[in-house]
Amino acid sequence: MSKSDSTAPEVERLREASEWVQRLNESNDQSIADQWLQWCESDPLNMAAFEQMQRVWDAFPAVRDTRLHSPSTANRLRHPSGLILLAASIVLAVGAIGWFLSRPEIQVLETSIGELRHFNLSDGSHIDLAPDSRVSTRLTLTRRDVQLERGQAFFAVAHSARRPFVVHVANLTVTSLGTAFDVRTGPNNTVVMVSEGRVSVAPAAAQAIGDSSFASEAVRAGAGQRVTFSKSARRLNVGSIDPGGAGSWRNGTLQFVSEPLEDVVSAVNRYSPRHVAVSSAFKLTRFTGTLSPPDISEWLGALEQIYDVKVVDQGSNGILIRSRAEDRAKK
Amino acid sequence: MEYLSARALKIVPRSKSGIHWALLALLITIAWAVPVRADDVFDRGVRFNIPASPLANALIEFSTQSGIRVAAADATVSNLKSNGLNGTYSIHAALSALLHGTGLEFSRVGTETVAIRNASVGPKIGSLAPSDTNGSAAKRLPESVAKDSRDGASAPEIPDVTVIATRPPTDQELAGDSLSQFIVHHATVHYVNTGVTGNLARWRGGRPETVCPVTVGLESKGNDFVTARVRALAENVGVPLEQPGVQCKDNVRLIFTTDPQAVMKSVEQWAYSYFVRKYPRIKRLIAFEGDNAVQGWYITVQGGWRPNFDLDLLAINLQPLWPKIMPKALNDYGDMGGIGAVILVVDLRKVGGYAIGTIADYLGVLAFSVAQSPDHCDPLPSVLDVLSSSCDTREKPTAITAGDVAFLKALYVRTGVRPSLSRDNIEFNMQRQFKSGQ
Repeated sequence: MSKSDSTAPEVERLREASEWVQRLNESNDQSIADQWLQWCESDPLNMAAFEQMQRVWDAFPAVRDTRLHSPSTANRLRHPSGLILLAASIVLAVGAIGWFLSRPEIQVLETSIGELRHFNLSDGSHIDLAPDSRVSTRLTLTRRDVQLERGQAFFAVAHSARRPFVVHVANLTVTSLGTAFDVRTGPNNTVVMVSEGRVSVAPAAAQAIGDSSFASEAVRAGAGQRVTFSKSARRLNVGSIDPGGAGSWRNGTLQFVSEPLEDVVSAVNRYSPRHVAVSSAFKLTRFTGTLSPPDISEWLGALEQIYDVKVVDQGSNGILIRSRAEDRAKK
Repeated sequence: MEYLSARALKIVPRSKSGIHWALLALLITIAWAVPVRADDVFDRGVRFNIPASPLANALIEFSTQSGIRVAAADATVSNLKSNGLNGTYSIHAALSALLHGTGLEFSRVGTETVAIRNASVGPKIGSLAPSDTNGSAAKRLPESVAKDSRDGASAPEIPDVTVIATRPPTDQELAGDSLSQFIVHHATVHYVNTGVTGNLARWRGGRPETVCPVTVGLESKGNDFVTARVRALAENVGVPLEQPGVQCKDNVRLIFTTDPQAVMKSVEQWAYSYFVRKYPRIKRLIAFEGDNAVQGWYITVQGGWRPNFDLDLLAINLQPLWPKIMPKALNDYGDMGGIGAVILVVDLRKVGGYAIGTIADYLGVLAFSVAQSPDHCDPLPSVLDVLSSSCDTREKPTAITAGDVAFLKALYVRTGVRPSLSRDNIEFNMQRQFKSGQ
């Protein structure tokens, strides 16, 4: 393949990316944002091209602002001294901006067991962090990256067409421009619930390992939708929710729809130092319902009615949800 | 409450401190009243607006709008839909409306939580076993069992006996040869080497082969429930069933006991007087295998030649269900005989933790078809999975399943002295039922 063959698509990609940069900066239309997300999802390289063109856009504010409206620029370029001055300015500006861009704003936000906290980010976004959760944020002029390392968080994202807000969680990326959504990661599933706007959810590993089956699974979800990523099946499933249900934990109620009991217990354990464990026979048994930790006595009682389990208080060793069948087998 | 209020009013004019007493009395009145209202939280009117949706979502929505927490096994609510709810209802009425027609019921846990589960699963078997269970069922056999439960009134605490399968099967559960496996494990070929297709064992109907179940060994309400539940299943799937009030021989005997050996000794003595001298092998066949929670013996009959069913006069074969089926012991007349009597013995020591409805459904399936291999765990769930050792960690049903009901309906699609559907035809019939959502 000749060089021209390989570069032509890239040139075309950059051209498209520059058009998206311009369109997104000139409009707050959600439909344009949707189209842009679709374009990003169509090829993993598109997002990189977009970011490249966004940097160019950000690096030349004067040129950007005057290219259509300032005929005097051309006149100034006719004078050699002006040309040198402008060139020097551009070099300095690029250097300064590059230096600025290389200094992202990084924060680590963390909560302990039973602690809920609200954080305001410098871009105007807000993060509600569930108990025993941890996120790290990395904000630059072109991008806002958040890593949910454990637990659960609700993100109210300030609209910025030029700075995608990307949550990285357990080999999954959740990309938005201005939305409100909740992300929870557990032992088996990662669940994204959208209460406002739209997000694009894609297995991050798809791009890294070139797994085409992963890449094809990227989905978009809007308000009232839930995306569940099964770590074992490596598949994304979209379901519906009450939009108000996303982030319901902030009001003290945890909601689960068809989730492994192990994930439910993992979420419960973030609210109380009294550890709850579930026997292996029931770890993948699915649960649907609501509960309000840290008071889980009624929930535990309900489990004994809906499953063949016995809840055993083990004193300082916590609480065990044990299979009755295993007990019978031992007898 | 009125008394306290009146007392407070009397105190007010007496002194300044009386005001304090009045306030205290008022507080006491309120404090006393609040718990009363809290007890009735399920009667509180709430404005609901729940759209038609999958039942799981509707329950979450119900929880959000009412403040009542819900808990459901996903296998119970998945694949079910709710018609939604719009208007002001008490919490109790709203939840009843949401679950209407789903085959589910709810029970209250504490003050603000409900558990959603299959209807009629009921209390645990262990809680219904009388304290003198040990040997009592054995002593009553065989004559007294006939009167033990039918004379009793229906128990008010026992839930609805309506037979409703938990949920329709998923595509995955029906994939491949799932149905074929299910049928093979659920039904035994009645006759050996006859060349007759469609000879799966079943109740054929008519005077001798019409089901007349009875349950002993639990408290009377438990006995009544199990009998009623098995009758309901028979009615639902088309098993020939003796009508209530008709005098009939108890040909489906469901015996709960903590001492199965004693029960079987009684059965053996009873059987010996009639059969063992003529058929010495019976004594060995009815021996109880102590490892099994439930064991069954089937008496198969050659139909048509004995108009009045009388257990002691019929040509019979007694057949232990576990640990293995011995086809050669079955009736070898070669024509279309059927099941004439079933004895199922449940070891209470091994099923104490199960709900009564679960075990009743289990017994119902065994009573109406000679399961060839109940210890399997087929892709298509069956209530027989409940006691199977082959299901590993797969979630087990808590009631009869859609597969069980469809199979029995196909087995009993036409009764009388004629062949049952062949296994292939039963499979076809089940597929048709699932497609039509019956």
